[in-house]
Amino acid sequence: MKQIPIHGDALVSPDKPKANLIYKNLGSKLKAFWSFFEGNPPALIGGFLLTLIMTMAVLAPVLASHDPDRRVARSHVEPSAKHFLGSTRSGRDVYSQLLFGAQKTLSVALAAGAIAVFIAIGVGVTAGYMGGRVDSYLNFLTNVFLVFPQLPLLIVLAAFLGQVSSLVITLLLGLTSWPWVARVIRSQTLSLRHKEFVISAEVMGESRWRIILVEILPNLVSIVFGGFLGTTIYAMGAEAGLGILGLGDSTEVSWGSMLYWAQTSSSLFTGAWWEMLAPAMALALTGGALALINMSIDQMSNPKLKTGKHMKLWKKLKREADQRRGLV
Amino acid sequence: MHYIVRQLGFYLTAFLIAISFNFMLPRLMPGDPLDALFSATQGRMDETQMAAIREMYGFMDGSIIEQYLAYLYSIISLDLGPSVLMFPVSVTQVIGQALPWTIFLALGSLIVALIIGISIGTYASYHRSGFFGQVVPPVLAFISNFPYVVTALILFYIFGVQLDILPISYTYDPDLTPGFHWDFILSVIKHAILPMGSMILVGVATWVFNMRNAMINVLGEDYITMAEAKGLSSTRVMTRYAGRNAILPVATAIAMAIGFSFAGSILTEVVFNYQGLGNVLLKGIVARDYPLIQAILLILVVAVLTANFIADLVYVWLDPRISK
Amino acid sequence: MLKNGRAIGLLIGACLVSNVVTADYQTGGTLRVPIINTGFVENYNPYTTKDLLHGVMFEPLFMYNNMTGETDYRLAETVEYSEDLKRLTIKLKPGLKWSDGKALSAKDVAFSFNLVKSVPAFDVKGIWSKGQLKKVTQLDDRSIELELHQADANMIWNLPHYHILPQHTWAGQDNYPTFTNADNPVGNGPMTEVSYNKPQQMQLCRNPNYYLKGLPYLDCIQYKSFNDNSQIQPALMKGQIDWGSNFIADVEKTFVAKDKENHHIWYPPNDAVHFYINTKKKPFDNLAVRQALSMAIDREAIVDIAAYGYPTVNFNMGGLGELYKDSISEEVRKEFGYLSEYNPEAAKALLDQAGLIDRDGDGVRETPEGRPLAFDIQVVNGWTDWIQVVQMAGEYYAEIGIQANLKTVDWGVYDKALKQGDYEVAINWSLAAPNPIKVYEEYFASSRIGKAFHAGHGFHNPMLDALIQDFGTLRDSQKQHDILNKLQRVTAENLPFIPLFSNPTWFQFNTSNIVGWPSEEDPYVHPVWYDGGKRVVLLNRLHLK
Repeated sequence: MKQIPIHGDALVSPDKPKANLIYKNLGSKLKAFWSFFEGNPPALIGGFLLTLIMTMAVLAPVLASHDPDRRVARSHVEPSAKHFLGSTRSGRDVYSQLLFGAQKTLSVALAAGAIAVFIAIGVGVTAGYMGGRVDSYLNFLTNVFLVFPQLPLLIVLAAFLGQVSSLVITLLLGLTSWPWVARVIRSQTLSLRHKEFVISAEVMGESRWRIILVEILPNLVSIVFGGFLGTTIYAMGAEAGLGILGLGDSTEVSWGSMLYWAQTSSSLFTGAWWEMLAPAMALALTGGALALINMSIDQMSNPKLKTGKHMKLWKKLKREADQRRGLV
Repeated sequence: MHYIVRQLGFYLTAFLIAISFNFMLPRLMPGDPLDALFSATQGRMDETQMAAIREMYGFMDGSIIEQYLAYLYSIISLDLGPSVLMFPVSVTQVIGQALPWTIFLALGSLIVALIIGISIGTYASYHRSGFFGQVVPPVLAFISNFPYVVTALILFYIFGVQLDILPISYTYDPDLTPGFHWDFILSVIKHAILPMGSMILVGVATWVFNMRNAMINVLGEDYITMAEAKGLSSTRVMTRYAGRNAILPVATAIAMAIGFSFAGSILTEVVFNYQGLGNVLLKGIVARDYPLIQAILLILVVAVLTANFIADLVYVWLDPRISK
Repeated sequence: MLKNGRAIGLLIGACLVSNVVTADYQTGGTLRVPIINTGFVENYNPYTTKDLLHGVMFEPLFMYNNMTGETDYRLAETVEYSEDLKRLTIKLKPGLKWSDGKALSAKDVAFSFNLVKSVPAFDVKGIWSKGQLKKVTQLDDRSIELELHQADANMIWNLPHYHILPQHTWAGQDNYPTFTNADNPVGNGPMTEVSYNKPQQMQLCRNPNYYLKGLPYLDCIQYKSFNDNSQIQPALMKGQIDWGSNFIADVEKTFVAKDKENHHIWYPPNDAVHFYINTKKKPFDNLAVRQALSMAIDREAIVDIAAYGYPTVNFNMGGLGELYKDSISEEVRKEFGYLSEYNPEAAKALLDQAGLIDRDGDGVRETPEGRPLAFDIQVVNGWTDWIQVVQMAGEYYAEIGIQANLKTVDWGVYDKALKQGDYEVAINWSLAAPNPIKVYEEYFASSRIGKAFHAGHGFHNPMLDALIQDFGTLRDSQKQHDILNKLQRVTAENLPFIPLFSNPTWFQFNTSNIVGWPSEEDPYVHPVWYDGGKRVVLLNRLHLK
């Protein structure tokens, strides 16, 4: 997990109220969407890579040249026109496995991310909004989960459960990686709770649900989305890690199980680097792409961090500062 | 003071929950550690022999509560019994052999990553509109989000197999006698380069971003403007004024990172056959060595809890308002 | 070279002298071998260090050399049965010494066998706990007598698994299971002196008082700790290991080709691997189905592709593999050999006749009751070579309209399932023992049901029990031979398991420093590292180049 939440609320910028932003018309949404990428090379690169990878995963049945589960070549055939990325030790087509493996790996990672974020929203918003007893119980629960060494626990759980299908891995990952997102959401909810627009909604007698759904959640969107991406990256890495340790289901085709088979066939030593490096690079690119997008979201929720479009921004800030200092 | 007591209470409760969970875990799972051992004899043991060996390995019968009490006692007395995998060596001894290497790997890579990360983060924030500030953070974000295993494997392949210039197993050259002499120290360093390197690559971006974000928040403050206005050199402003204040929130994040660093070392150790806890843990899992697995999980929990508690203390020390 | 020394021990046994000097090789050199473990510890108790010290620090009484077909007497000069097969007399060689110079006498042997009685955990073959052994008596300085509860000609094969321990350093310990023998360990094997013991590496050096004068030629044996096979591979490639006993992927390319002069392999057949079938479950109760399953697979292709071509294809339907080639019945092999040949058409015909036809046209046959012919083949998670074998077999079965699913399970599950016969089809090994009767005991003896891996197929009857029982009471080897032939015939006729291939013995060796290895040209011993008896023969033949 890359995003270590800083103790307390330090990282969570006291955001300006943006109530109902999300519910504005479609046109402005598209505009907002575009402005996220505009003049922001990391976001552009990340978005492009991710779109490419997702498209390839979705279109795997169309794009694949062979059945990923069948022996279609001699073992360890070098990359060629017939087998773009060569064949595995057991004669499977690496390129086709990569495409179908993307489906499995990405769905595990995204589903785990989604589960984690749903739990995190539930726990975080409830704790932050309700406060008092509920908050202290939920906060305690969050902290307990947070201090448990997650990866070792996962490894042990996966090992004890024996053959762990991707579904079990998804659940395990989802159920264990929510706490840090919950913590950030809670802090943010806490600070939002005391904003005028929330208080005025309360005074006007709006129901709790409506306040949570309409006033608070829209303002958590960037944090939630950032948390989702972070968890997804983590889940993908964990799936690969469990895979290569042989704790996943080696008969399913995923990037993790591809690494496992490449490892057991000593492909790096027998010169069949493609068997190992193809899934490794796929994992690396996906992880990197997600991270770039995540970074850009961070900047969106905290404009101070912004580095893109930046020369303009910087010049503006600089001019203001200079004016204050009386240099202009 | 009240705050610290409360936190201490929390950590004790968390510890109790953790060890209870630790106790339940193997008992909920299928398979028995000794089944795996018996398999090695190709099933040629009968019940009486199995019972004898069970006793030899310290697997006691009795109600679950008796077992739990015995387990609690063994934790308090630090006598965790013999390891199944390496019988008759005690679990404590097995861990004693592996733990120093994991601490070396986890803390070593954390410290190096911190130094590099904080330097780059500080620099990048101060020059955020320059080439460095624009290009380095995204590139780092990209690289350090490769899964641990992938980074380790890529380094393994490039430096260990293709170039063949760095060792890819062991903690030091086994022909050497450990001790305080150059050959040994050099060998330890050489063997640590790849595993540590892969952990640093993964960890460094965290600190770049934590530091950069904290710095950027600080850079808007008036006292920085003031310092600049006084005409202090930018290096001085960057390190003495902004850096010192920005590092406060970063310091507390380090506690969390210790836990992650230990966890990360598991995969790294396995890839590089590094004789640390992670390696032992995996072997223990394969052999269903419950005493060993439990002890290792326990150590990891204690490490994380302690680190967090220290972080709380540091936090109070840095920001006395909290303790009220 | 050294052809006459085919079995040094035998030679000595015949001459009744212990100080035979063998060939004049230069002494010296260190043999480097890989050990898969988490690291070494100061423990020199041979019963709690797996097989680490067997045949190295502790010499067996004798060993059966399956390559030469002869018994190689080591510490023992003779081991003889009484006429009624109820007594065994062990006579030691004269002048034996412990590595510390003290005399090794029958007292030590008696102590060693009595020790395992009081410490059941050390009773590795259950000679006491299974009620085979009644009493141990020391006859004189060099002889002891083992008294058995009943006539048992097979009992003798258990003896080499017990270590002969020094009474003068072992007697009077409080807790033997946790005794590590770490203060000045004393042994009787070729390498007894601990030169160092580090977590990653340990070294044992020559026994100054070894009973074979001038042996071993090597000075020391060095154990290197590794995580798994994939770590051993680079060490072998770089010449850091002299003797490898591990699965190495693409060994010709990665190891042999690196140094054709010095890097060699020899993979003689070991135990046979079968698909065990649960004959109590439908439709496997039908012999035709089992025969079809056997004929539907191309064993040669499976061995070639899924297992790198290292195993030996097994065309013997009688239950024995090439390991027991002297006991394999030619007649049974010829008569039932057709069942082992790849013949999908015949397999289909058999299934058609049995009424298993694809009724709904989905490509999978159904039983007359309408249940699809689909089943799981169990393999242990992580046993990659077997997983690939099962995957390939599944492809062959799909071609004749059978849906075989690979089911990878955890070891604990597999272990229980095999013992309790709780499977449809499972892949497993068979026993590798000195005498093939032991293999059949595991397959068929009703006393092994629920305990042995190989008895879960459900095919048992009193006639088989009687045959196995009788074998142990016979002294006539021709009659024993007849029993083995009969067992093979019954097995082939009923096919409770489908023989696939014989596991290879993994054996890689490096001749850059050390020579004298067994090989296909000079198969003086089966190169099984994990067998102390075979290991000690090898250790006494290896020498500097």
